[in-house]
Amino acid sequence: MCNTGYRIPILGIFVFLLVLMGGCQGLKGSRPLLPQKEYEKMIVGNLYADYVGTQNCLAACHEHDRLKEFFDASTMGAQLKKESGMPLVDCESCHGPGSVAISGLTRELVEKNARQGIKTACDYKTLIDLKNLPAPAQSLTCLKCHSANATFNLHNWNAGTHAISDVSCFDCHKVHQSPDLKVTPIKSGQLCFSCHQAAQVEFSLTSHHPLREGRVFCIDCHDPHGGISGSLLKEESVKESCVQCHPDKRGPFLYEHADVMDDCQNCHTAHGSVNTNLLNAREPFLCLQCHEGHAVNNRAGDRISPESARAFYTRCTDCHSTIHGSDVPSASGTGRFTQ
Amino acid sequence: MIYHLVPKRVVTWTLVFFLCGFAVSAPAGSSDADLEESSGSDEITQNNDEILPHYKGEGSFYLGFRAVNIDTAGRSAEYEDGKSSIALGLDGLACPLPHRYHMHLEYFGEHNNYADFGYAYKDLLLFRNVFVGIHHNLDHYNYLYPGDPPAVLFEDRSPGDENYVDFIKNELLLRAKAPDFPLHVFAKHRYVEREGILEQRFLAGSIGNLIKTSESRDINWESNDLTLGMNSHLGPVEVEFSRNESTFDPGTGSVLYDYFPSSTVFGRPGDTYPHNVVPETESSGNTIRFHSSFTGQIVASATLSNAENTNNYSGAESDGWKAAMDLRWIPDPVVSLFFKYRHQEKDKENPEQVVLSGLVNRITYPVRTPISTEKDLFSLSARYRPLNKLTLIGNYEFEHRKRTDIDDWIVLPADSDVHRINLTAHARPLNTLKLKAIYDYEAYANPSYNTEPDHSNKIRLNATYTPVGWITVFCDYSLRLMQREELQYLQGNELVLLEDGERDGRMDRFLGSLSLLFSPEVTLTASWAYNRRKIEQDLAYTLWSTTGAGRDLPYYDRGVPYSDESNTFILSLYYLLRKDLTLTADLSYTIAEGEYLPGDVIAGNSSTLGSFSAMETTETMVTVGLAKKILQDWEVGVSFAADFFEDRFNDGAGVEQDDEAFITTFTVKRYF
Repeated sequence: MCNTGYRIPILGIFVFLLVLMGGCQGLKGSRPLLPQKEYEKMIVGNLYADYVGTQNCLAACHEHDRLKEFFDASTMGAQLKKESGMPLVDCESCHGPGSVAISGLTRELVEKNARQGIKTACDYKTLIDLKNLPAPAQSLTCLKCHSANATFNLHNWNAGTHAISDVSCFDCHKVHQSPDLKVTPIKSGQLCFSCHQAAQVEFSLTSHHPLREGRVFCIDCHDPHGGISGSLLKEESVKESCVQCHPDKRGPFLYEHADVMDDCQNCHTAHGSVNTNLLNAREPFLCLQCHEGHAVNNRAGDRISPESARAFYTRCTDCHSTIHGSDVPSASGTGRFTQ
Repeated sequence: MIYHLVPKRVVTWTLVFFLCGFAVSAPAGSSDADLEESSGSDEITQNNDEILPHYKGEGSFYLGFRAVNIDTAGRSAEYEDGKSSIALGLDGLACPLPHRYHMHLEYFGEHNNYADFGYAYKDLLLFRNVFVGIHHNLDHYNYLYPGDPPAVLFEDRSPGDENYVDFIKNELLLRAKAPDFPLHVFAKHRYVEREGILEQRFLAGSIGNLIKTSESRDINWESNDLTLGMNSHLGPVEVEFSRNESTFDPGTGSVLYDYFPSSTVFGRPGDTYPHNVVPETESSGNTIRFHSSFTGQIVASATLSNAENTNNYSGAESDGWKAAMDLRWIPDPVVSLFFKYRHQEKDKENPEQVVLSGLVNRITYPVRTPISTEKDLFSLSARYRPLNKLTLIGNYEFEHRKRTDIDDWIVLPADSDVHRINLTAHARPLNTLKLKAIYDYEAYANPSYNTEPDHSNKIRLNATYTPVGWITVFCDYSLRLMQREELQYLQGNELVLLEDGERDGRMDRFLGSLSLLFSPEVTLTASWAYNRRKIEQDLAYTLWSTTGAGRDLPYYDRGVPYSDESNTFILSLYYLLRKDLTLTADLSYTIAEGEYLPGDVIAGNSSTLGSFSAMETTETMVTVGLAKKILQDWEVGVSFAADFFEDRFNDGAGVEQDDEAFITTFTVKRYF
């Protein structure tokens, strides 16, 4: 048996002691970001621009925007104030330094134009063109701060399927849309299906988890930020994902179905199926794929009757009902999953 | 202990807390005075002194009635309890800074509800609670041929019972942060409850007098899962440690008892024995995770975790640990390399023997050693962006599986290797056209199960075309071909491994959709999805030896075809009839067919077997919704949903599936 049970807590405590002893200085500093800098240089055209502060963007021109209202109420909005003790966040944190963009503009000019019904535009093309940045650069815009603070769910982001496949933070999180940047469980399906249409169709099949009923959510099983198992699963394995809601199948059992149960997808499909109980195939074919069937002859050498075949080759789980594992020996004294 | 919190109490207090929160945060929009104050400067200067911003709370509340009309508790109403109910909803977001609240609540009946509450105080405290409740109708199977053959009887001890499960899940998160330092502590708790009546099927009787039995079983299962953890920085490295404990309590009735007559074949005396035990289980684990700063060219992360699982009924144990490492390197803005390594060990341990305790007899049986496993997985990916509109991704993955203690199991290989290659191209040749092409290859050495192939090839093509702003065409097609030789079967009780037979598989999937945005007021989307899974496999059946004891080599039924096929057609309409009147409509039709055609394995016509497993069903769903704004902040709505399920193949499967469901909901909504 493994003896790691006590080692990991000790290691954890040791690491945290180091954290506390390590001091706080420098931990909030955002480290240089080479790719981001390169993109800034390419898109802004120069790095001579200065940071002019949120007041000169939001307060000067965007003060009545709903965007400002949303942003102010977000966590990042709270970080506008130095008193937050966190890395400051403002418009320029993402859009780049703005001194070139507002060069030559004064508040009087903006107000004068406004009185004449003219909207004064800054030279926004000198800012970082976030919408058209490659996905990794868009994500780095967010990660440069979210690496300075704790990032609970981004641990496996960088080598995750989404990051590799050019999915950026912007694809799911609309920074300006609402003070609440989280994707709620009930809205996660809508968001995921905008790219994963095939998965949406699977849920329209007759046997399905109640996702279209709004009672199971994509993020119940998947973490779009990445994980250590495949298919962006939130848990460490397929079985671990399933037993979160089906704990009676967790085991271990005295009589296991070999190691088949380690991956529930050996028999079930997670999203939807044309077969009942989300099965990959109907019984008895499902079982006969791996198991030799009951005898088709008798001792005299005659083939069994259709009636007998019907009894033994239809729904295997009528008799083998503890197929997910059993703690009671069957009549033969072995684990035939009949008891 | 959080473990033993009663979830209803949690939900109640959470609700009270949030309602108070919303009450004190009555819409507090920025006053004109505030705005004047905040824009007092005469010229654009560097001035970061701001007043605390305010956000005007917003949301909606609706109340109505949901009328449910279900003919039977069949397939179309799989998640409906058939009871009409009031419909209640609340959606709110309030940010009286530094407090932030959100709430989303849906109540469609005692067993159909959802609640999501969130509260944050600055960045110091975060609370989230998500509650889900749903009813699930379960099938009630009958074996339609009792006594035919005479050696197989059928007894339904609860005929006509409707089987169901009421499912509840409550997930709670509480996270606190140290002021001015990224040190967090967090607690996560998950509570799952299943309550209802299952149909318990099992085999009673003895050989020569088998009784397929069905009886209702009351269940009240509870599961609690608690995780406590800390997260912080160690210079440029972030570290997180968490401890998890979970329990599963099957409640009363976790063991069933029945009289089993004496078995001359197996030498077991007649007695009342336990069966279909649902054991109480416990598990615990620790996880430690590290990752470097995300902002460098090289980013690394590592995870180490262990888990211990115990079955309190039988004493079976399973321990294991996992390690994971990710490495990303961006040597150049157009090139990225990704490396992953995963290691997993699972050791299982059973008592060497088990005592079966009947009312009178105690019989000791040996228990075979369970299989322990190890897995290693290496993955290397490269992403190259030669052009702004073209991205190429290549991935190679190698997986090694090792099994120990397999002597008693025979059929499983000690080692299996899997090689996987994936090539992907994302292209945008035109601003109006997005293309994706994927090729996957898999090769297995010593596949674990017959369902795993020796080789598998898969292609997938995906295109999104927007020729004009109001038309979007989407197509996705994938094809997977699998081949397997030398299937492995265990020759019954002879414990001899046989290697014979072949298996071929083919899976096709197509999805096409056309979206038409006629105007901002009218959107129409039509979709068609096609799925087919086709397998041909040699199946093995036991043959008794006619020349002596034991068995002959099995009878192979060669090239048995099995298929599943489905077509789904969907039509969706959004129509803003007037500024204050919205119509939404959805229509979907799914037809599914399946075949299983065994050869001549029995006397007479084998179609009996094939017909049992044949399948043809259709499901039609219609949803129509109408919402009309009245007064300034009020809206009335009505929605109608109908679902028609038809099992066209009356195959004697022993479960009634045809039915219809109608749901009509009236609501009055108030925005605030």
